[in-house]
Amino acid sequence: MKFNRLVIPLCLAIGACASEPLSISYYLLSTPSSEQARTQSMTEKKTLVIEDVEMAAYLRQSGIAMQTSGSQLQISKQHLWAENLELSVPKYLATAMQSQSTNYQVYVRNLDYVPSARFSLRVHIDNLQATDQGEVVSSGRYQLIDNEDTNHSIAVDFYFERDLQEDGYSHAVAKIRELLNDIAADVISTAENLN
Amino acid sequence: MMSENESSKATPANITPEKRVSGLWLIPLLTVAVGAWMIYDNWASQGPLITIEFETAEGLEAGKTLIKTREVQVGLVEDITLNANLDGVLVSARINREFRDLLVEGSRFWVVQPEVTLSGVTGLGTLISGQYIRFSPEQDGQLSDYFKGLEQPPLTPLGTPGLRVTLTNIGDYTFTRGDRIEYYGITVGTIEDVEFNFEENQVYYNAFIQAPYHELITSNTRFWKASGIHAEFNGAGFTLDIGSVRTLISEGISFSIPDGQFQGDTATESALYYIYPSRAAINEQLYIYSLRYWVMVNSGIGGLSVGAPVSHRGVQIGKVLRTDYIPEGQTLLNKDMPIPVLIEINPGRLGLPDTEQSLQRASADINNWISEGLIATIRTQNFILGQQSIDLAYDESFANTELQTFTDLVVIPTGEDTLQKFADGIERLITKINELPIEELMADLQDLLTEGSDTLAAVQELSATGNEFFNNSRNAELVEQTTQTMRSFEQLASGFSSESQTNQEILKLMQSLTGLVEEFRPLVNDIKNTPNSLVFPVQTEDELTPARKAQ
Repeated sequence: MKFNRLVIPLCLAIGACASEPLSISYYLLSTPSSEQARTQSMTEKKTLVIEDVEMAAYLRQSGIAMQTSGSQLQISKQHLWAENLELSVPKYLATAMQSQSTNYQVYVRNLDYVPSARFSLRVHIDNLQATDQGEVVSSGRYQLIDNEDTNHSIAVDFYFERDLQEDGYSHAVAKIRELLNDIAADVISTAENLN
Repeated sequence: MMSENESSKATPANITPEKRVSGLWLIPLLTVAVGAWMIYDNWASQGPLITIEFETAEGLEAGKTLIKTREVQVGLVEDITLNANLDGVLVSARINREFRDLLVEGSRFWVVQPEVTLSGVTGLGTLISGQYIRFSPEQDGQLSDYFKGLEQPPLTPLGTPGLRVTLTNIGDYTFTRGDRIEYYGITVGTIEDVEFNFEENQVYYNAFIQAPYHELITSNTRFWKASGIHAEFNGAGFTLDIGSVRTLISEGISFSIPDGQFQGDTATESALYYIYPSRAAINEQLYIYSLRYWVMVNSGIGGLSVGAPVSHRGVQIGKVLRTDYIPEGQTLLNKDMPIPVLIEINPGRLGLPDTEQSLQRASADINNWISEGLIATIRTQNFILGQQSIDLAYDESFANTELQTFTDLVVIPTGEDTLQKFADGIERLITKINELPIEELMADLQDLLTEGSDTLAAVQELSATGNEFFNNSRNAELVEQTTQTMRSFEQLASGFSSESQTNQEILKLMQSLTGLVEEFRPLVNDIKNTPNSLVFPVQTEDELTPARKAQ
């Protein structure tokens, strides 16, 4: 009994000393810029509210996903998102849509005070990762609802890809931002068509 | 020349008798005498031969093993034999003559060998010098030549000033010989001995508190288990106490005076103290006298555990004693069977003296309360943990109820939990909605539409009647009150709208919890796949890194 009570903590201590800690890098989806800080006028614009962005289950983890084969994924233990994607993607999409069109005032539900909005957006993202083919891909589906005329509501399947020009996660994250910009542009384009 | 006659007369020889003992014999005699003197001197100068009985002779060797006190050699083991019963060994040892006065009855002998314990490492020197017998002489007493050896070294040297007390635990935790007793982090004593009393089914610990700290032990002193991490879930929530690093790997006992109590009288030798499960527990008042009652619960008692508080107007007046009693001849298969919950109420908690006399008064008062409508209600005390408690309160609809008994104990009538009542109401409402004849209603609606013109006419008539109604001043007042009520309800509902602060706070909490769970997911996966990864480093495979597209 006494032996055990000494040996177990000793093993823990030795084990703890022997383990080399992992070097962990955190990545931000959005980078701070002065453009974002501009005060937006909230009048005379069509309002669009991002109601919900639902990520695939494997994208809810903090580790950055990478597709290593057709059906295999790797969730990194060393390269992590600094913020949960389900929180950061809506914010990024809102900023991206805002910067791409001056005709729309974009809000995020549960983040902003949302007045009665013209459009409601629901996004489901199935893929948002780098692949072993040297690309980053995003796919999923969004639904844009015209609250003034629900007959004009539309659901769109999307797929975007971008080539990686550099190695490493930092570059992959930068390309993922571009994919989200593509989605934002697509949503704005769809909204314009609904008008 | 001599004549023949002269020559025939021989002169008689002068015969001298030969010496009987040769002087040479003096040499061996002298040798013997010297030898005898040497033997006597050796015998007279050698110390007493003592016998020490041990359970085993492990590490002892005749002619080699020394007997020491304070690292000074005082004797030598001469012979080792088995005792008559073959259940021990008798070690014969010669003690040097100058130390013979130390061989007092009660002196302690034990074998010193290397020992590694949580208290430290001792006896390392014996790895080189060999094991020896340590001798700790008693101060006063009669001389003796037989001693019972100790199988383990004594934790407290003889004559150490201090106080011996007896400790016993309240809970399931146990301690072992050598565990420390601390006072604000300072080791002031140790558990010397552990005894199990079979009759009482209770473990007793003989503990020694060194001077001058023994003066801190008084009649009001409370001991508590100060080991490692103490986590407690109860109705009030989650409590976590973490001791010092040393207590994380070994057991420990602390002591103090409960908050707000006087120092008390000086403790007597071998006084009995309880070891409480935690520091917080020592502040809980111990009540000796209690009254027992049954509470018959018709709903579930899933969150009602033994020890759950029984409260009256928010003040704890007792606790739940038992929830698992099933009356004879009844089974839980009988769905209408109320579940008996045994509770106790302490007169001491009601503000009465904790005496036997108080029992009668409290019993009479509680019986009066029951006749005035006192009921017991199961309340959910903690929604997250699901803990429940019993609340005693008055309900006039239960007044003048006849006092009932069950197994000779009075039964306190049971009321419904308002929350449970609300849940039951919702359930009844849903059942009623389910039972609604929707299809028939639709058919009726169709009929109704066909009779639209009649209805419009009726509406016109109703409108006229309504105008008359609103024109009446008393009815206008009623309408105003209704409008105000609706406005209050609107304000209340807005507090829980999606934009409200309450809703935002709940969302943030849920997001934090989700994030926390997601952070733990890889760790749980690692532990599931390689359980030893917590202790031993796991060879991790190199991760793939996103690479540029091949041109």
